Amino acid sequence: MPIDRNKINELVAGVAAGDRKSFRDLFNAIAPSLKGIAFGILHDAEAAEDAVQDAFLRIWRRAKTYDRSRGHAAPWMFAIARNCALTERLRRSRQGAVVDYDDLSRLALAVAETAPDPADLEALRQCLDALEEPYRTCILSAHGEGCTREDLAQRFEKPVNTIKTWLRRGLIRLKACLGGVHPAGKYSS
Amino acid sequence: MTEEEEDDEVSAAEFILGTLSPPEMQVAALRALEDEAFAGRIAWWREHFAQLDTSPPEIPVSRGLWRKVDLLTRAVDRMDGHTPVEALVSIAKQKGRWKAAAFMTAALLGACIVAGLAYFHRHPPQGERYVAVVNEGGTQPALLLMVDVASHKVLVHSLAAEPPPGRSLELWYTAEGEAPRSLGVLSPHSSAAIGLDDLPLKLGDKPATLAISSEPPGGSPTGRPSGPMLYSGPLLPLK
Repeated sequence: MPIDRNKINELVAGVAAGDRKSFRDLFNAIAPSLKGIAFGILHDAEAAEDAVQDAFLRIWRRAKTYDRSRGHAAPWMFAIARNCALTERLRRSRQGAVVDYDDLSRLALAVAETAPDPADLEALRQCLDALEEPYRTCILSAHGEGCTREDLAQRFEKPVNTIKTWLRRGLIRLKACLGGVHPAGKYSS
Repeated sequence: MTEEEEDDEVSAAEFILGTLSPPEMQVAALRALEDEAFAGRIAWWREHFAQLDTSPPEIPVSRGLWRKVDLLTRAVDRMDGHTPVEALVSIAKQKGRWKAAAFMTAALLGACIVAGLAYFHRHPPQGERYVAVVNEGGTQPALLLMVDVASHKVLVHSLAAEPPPGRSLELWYTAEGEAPRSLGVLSPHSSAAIGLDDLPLKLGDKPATLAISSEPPGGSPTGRPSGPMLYSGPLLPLK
């Protein structure tokens, strides 16, 4: 079922005011989507629910600070779910200290105090479509499926260093494409 | 773009994608503190990649998940609504940047608090319950404790409590106007349950504090705190 983004925005405003009914309604409306994001990264239902639980804790705590001028609230919550899933993956990998992706990226945002140009954001899909393979698949698999470099190496039957190179090339080209996008959405030469 | 700028761009993007190795990710996080331009790159990629999640697949959640979320958020509300992470973000917004150690501490504590609360919700006690986050000097959460009156147990989840070398950590319950009563010696870096045989059961009658002191190995020889109190926090009802 498509998400009613205006309704979601209203519910987030209610959550920001501390209204628990809004919070419950928001949970019912968006928890399955957050689980979909988390499951895509973790590939484990229990782990995905742990990530969703963490995400709603953060949403509850931060709704009052959500800046509505940044657009719809759904992508904001999707990003939290994604970061919580990455943190859960790191936690489960037991590779040293667990660092919280969501806090780290949020702190980076706090330092940077930047807001992207909406026209620039809309151009992302265009630029991804224009990206050559295998770079495009590497980036989309890392983002959408939570693939690590090792996962991608296995998928493409290539050494990890090759994957690192592909990611590097793809990301640099993506940045160049996005950096060259005119605010109207057309590419500059 | 120079090669160095490319390195920064790729690190920032891979940080958001989650493809950096854990050590690389920590380096990138520290770098973001000292280099505002690098932090800006991370923010740029985060905002852009977020646009890809416009219509994620929906997967039904389990029936008990809302209850866990509801209890968890009510517990957080009873912690004055502020974790050290929130406080540091606030400082960051005022000052623009802050020291790396504080940043990493905040990030780690954020994860620890969530992990600790999640622990309790995976091992839920029943009936009348109280929760306390005991802090070091009012800043660093060291332990998360939940008192379960029905089962006469204190569930202890260690976050960052460290006994001084050659010493033990002892947990004390202090109701307002009364002397501290020992709840037992803690083992750090673990989750454990402590029996409550001697604890007064009317916990909600007076404001109370849970505190942790540094004691000789095995605990205080006097039945009262004999060493310095390292951590403390109020005991709050969890309804």
